[in-house]
Amino acid sequence: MLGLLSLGLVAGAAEEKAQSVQKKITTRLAKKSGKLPVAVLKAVEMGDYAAAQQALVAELQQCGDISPVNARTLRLAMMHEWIRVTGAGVLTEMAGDAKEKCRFLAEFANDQAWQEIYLSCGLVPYQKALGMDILYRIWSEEKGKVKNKPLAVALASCWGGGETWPEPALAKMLPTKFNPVRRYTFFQKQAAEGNLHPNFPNLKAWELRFVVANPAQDWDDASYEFAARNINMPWDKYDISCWAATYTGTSKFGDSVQGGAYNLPFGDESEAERTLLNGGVCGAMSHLGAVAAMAHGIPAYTCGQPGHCAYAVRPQRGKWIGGFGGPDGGMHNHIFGHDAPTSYNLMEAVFADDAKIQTAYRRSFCARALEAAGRDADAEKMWRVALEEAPLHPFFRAGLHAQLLKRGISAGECYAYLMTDMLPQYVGHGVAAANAMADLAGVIASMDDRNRLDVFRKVHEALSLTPASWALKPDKLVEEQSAAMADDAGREKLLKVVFTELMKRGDGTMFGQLLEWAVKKFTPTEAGSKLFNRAFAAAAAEVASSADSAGAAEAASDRNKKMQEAYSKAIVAAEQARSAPAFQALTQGALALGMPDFKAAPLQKAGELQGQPARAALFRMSTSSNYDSPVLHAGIMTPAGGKCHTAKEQTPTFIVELEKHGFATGCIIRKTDGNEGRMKKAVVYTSEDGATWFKRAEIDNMPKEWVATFPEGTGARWVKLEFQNASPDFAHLTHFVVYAR
Amino acid sequence: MKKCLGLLLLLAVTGGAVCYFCPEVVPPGTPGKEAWDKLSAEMKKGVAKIAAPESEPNLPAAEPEPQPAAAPLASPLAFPDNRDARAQAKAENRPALILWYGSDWQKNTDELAAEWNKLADRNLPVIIGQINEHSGAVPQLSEREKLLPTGAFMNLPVAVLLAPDDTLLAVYQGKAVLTAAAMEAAVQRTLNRMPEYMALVAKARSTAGVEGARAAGEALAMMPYADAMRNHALRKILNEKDPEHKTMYRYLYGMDHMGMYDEINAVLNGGKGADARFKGAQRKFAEALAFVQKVLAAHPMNTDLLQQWNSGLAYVYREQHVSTKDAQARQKMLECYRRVVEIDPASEYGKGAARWVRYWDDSVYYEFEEPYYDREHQTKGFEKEWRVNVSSSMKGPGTYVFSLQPILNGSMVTRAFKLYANGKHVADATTPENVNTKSVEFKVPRTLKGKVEVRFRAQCNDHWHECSGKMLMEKK
Repeated sequence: MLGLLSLGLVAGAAEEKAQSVQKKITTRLAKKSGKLPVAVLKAVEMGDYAAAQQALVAELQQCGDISPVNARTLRLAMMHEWIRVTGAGVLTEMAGDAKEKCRFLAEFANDQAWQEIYLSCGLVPYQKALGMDILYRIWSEEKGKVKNKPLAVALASCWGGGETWPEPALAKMLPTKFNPVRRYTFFQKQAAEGNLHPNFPNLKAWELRFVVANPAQDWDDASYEFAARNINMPWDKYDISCWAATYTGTSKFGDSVQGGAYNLPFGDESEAERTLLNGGVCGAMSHLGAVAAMAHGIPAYTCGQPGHCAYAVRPQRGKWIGGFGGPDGGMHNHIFGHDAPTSYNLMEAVFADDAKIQTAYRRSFCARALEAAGRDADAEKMWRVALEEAPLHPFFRAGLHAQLLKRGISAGECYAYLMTDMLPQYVGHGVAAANAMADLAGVIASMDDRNRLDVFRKVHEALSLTPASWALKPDKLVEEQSAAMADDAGREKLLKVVFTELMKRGDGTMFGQLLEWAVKKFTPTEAGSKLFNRAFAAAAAEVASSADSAGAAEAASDRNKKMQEAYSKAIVAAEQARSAPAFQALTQGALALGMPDFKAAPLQKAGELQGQPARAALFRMSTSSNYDSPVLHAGIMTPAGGKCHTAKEQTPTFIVELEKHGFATGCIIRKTDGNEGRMKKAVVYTSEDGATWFKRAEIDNMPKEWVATFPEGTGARWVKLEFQNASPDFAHLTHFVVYAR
Repeated sequence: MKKCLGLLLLLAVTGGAVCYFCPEVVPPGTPGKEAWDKLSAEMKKGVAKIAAPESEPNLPAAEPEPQPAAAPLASPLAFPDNRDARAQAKAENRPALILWYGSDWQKNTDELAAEWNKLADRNLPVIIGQINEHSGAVPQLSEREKLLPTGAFMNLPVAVLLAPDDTLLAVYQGKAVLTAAAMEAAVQRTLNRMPEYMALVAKARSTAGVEGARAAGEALAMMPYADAMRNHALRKILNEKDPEHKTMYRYLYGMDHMGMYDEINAVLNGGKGADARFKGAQRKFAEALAFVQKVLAAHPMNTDLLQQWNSGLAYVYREQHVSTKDAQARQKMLECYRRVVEIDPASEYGKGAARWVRYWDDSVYYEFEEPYYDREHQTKGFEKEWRVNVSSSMKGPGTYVFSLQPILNGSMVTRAFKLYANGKHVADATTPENVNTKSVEFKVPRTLKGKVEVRFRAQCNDHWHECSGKMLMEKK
């Protein structure tokens, strides 16, 4: 009895204590959240987020001035945005799951600074609890005092997905290998021990996404630990840290890396450990390089390329450096689309100025609040002022476009908006412009042909100055434009616009990519081929006439030469874009026009190699010069011969891409007649992925015609010739013919 | 000025052997960009003028931030730089000990430098030099590779001992480099063996043909395997003086394990690459086994090489078993793997071979204490027993559902589910044994105490062994 009584007293005391604690919490929350209405606060404490959102909207509807300069309305707007994006039902369910979770959510709701970091991190987990659950787990681990909130937010964001990238990566991974708390703790420990890059403490949550990595693509927690211990290099060397492992195609037990048995015997090790100790090829090595950088607090990402995997590191803000053939390709971790370099250039531009992006985000919260309060006109204005600070932010632009569409923007107004307000902001970010315009496709379709073509011309102006890469394929974008044109005549005009704008300016990469698209789309049919050629000729003529009017050289009157120049430029663009179809089609087009007249001397040593001349798809070289003949590049890869000429270089380089992988027996290289004293030390490499090169032959004093024989069983798709000059000099060839069996 | 000169000298170091097995790094930048620029310039000057851009691209601006690359060049060590030290070592006919580290990024550099500076007073008969690889010191991978004849290191700090003629003597990493005492002891151990080693090196250099190669091989055999494979100069002598593999050292130090498998596969397949004549069961297993056994019998090998060539032997037996289903080949393969484990269970070969034993041995089953399975639990082409501990899910008598919830599916086959308590069979699943299923029910008539397991047969036929997921036991 006494025992029971005692037990009852104890229980009563415990209840009293619990009530006291709860009261203290409520008081503390009330103090911290002075700007939140009591109804909201109560709903949050009860874990009823639908009620909280309802109370917030009711409060917002009473506010005359909803703006970021008004601290109270900003607080309401931010709270509203958090519930909107996460989902009132999701939060309510989470709060009902456990008392501790309810308490955490209440703490988070009242921590305005943390909430702002979360909502401004680029991608916010959308309509799901995963992001908040990750924060809760870290909060629990740190007993309610999260020391590195940006790092915790980065994990919640990167591992939790977002509205435009909804894949919840974490759900696909084994919790034994990917644990956000373990990764958070790893970085905190690394930071405390002074093992991280000195800039790590300055990284914002959106940057820290590239340190915590995407679990669906990148490596496990143990890999971080291992890489931190076993790869230690100067801060600026992590673009080569992939070479800590040995490039290995066959395992210690004889299995090919192109199969699951390669790693099977090392299943107990982390991915980093097994790669460092047993080697791998591009995929494993690029991941190793990236995880080594990230384990030292340096942002990085891995990326996919056709037949290859690469990576990139970011030793300072805005500066991405490629590793193992990166940074171009499909980024495995990103905020605004996965194509590098356009994605990271956009991201860096959007987030470049900390103060501006904070202002812009605050305005965006207010825009959402105004929408919730039913004040669409004010919301539109707020989106516009948000875009003043961050004109390239895709989500803010989408917010504005949603309002424009809601009020039924006319074709004329849309034309003015695009030409005057929006597109001029996107110079250097043409892909982002095209993506943002997709919202307005219906209105653009209702424009007359002339206005529509004007808009597309403006997009291509922006595109021409957008840093691109051979890995970027803008096909979808231009396909949509093509579909928007009424008929083939319209498409021909569009094609001319595309060629003209991209021939006029830019570095040629985007031109090459669009050429590839155009070749594939139009040249398979005779009518399409004619359309393509007419558009190309008209564009070349327009570019040339713009030179005439500017008082350029006397040769401007020579139409054939102008056309040759245009084709030369297009062929070089195709080479740069690594577009074999465009390279072939343009070469054939130029040769069909009868240009230029050239015949190479025949090969003398054609019989010395086994096999046959391999069918080659594409020729590339490191530089060109006034003496170059891009129209004749294709011939170089055949016994008939051709002509090419680099600029003065220390290491002029030529690459032949074969139509398909094969066993190459060697190659014959022949210098052009005259100046044969150049091009002495030569090295030939082969590659099976276009990025990893193996030395196969070298010669210190290359004769006029050199037969390079490869080791038996050399598999190759690419063959590279490199001259290693003592001082910069020209290189010029008539033949670079690869033989294969 | 002196510091700058030091940096220049550091950058100017050349040399190092060419490795035909090492891939080159893709140079940064896109080939062809300059070609475009040139053509653009030509068009501007000549036939056609390119319109100037209306404005510059709105590229992200690099903000001023802490710049590790701008770190001071001051070295905390009182030793000459790498190149000067090696020149002095050559002039005085003494070994050179090169200390490679980074002063601006490496943790605890001051403590390490204080230790290393003590080496100056230890009367070691070596010239000590340094490579202070601070951020920005050596911008290119290719230049880094040429700093020492061993090639570059990616986990600093490291110390490298070189003979007066630059031949590698030893590489020291980890604890061996952290204190002056440890370093001194390690160097002294190497120096004790140096006369014998250098005599072989001298013979290798001065003797033509196979005898020269043999001396190079014997010298390489005196080193730890990893150091031998970094000894590019001696390996080059070996390969050049024994082109026909007469000494067998070619197979040991002239190639790595990939070279070994190339040679084995050439025998198995009747040729390399496009010349291969045999496939599958038609391959020449007996010849390949004879080739590997000949190499194994030819020389006493260190543990790394013994493991490597026994793994090669296991590979041939494995290929034979997979292609012909020969049960004896399977047993022989398992014997080879067990031998590899016995030689050194803690090595990568040892750990890997132990896994292969688990994989191929029918009497070995996979046990799961955590409710997750992953790639490493897969067998391809044959079933294995899995035993999943479900004790914590047992809540008295009733109907239980055991299910596999795939994350990555692959081509998983699971069947013949049974329930065991303390090693005794207590129930079969309601689904017939031969049915491939991911969810089964068990009728449990009484409370089961102790260790309760679900046992079943599983295999993953996916080429990448990509089967992973969760396993759940729930009371209905």
